[in-house]
Amino acid sequence: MKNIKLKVARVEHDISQEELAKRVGVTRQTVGMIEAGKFNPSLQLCVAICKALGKTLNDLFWEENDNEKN
Amino acid sequence: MKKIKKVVDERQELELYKIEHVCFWIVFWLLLGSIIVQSMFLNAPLSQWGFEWSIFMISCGGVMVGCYKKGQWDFYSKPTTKNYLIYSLVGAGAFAIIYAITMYLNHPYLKDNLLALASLTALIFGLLFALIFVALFVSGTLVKKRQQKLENQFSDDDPQ
Repeated sequence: MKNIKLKVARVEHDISQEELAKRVGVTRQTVGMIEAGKFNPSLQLCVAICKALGKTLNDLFWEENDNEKN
Repeated sequence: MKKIKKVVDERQELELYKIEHVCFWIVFWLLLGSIIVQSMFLNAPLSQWGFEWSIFMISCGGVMVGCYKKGQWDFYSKPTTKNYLIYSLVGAGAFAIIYAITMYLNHPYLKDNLLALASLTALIFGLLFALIFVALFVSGTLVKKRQQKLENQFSDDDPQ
């Protein structure tokens, strides 16, 4: 399942995958794979990403319906 | 003891674990195959394959101790009597077939006396079946007790 919310939030903050990766201490590939839905991050990493983007876990990782499924 | 700092993130770490997991099991089965070929098919002396066997047993021991400590059993099954029976049948059956083939190839007497070969194979099968079943039963029981202990350790009732 693609994480569109994460990608949108990152673009809103005008930061690249590389920059977000640096802020949360992972590689750019990891951020790319989270956005593409190819890797499920730990709760610890989810929280770090939320803090870096000024969002809550609900904002970025909660799915209300199946609209964002591939 | 100072831990060496990892330079990989959690995704890379998981992927490395998966790679190492696959490679470990490839080496494990190849090593077992090598020991069987040398000891049973080629009739090589213990001095030739003994060191490999020692390494194989160390890896078996390591897996057993690690699984016990963490209360783990298997990826695909639970420690139940039915599974002990299935694994014992498969393990004893596979080894009995290999044993029968090697005995047939290496002993001319048994080539001419298939009834003796079948009896010997059945005996080996029975002994191995019992041995594997007991080993699985004992280790499964220990793992279940360990799981119970670990569950209680992190239950709501315990003060943190």
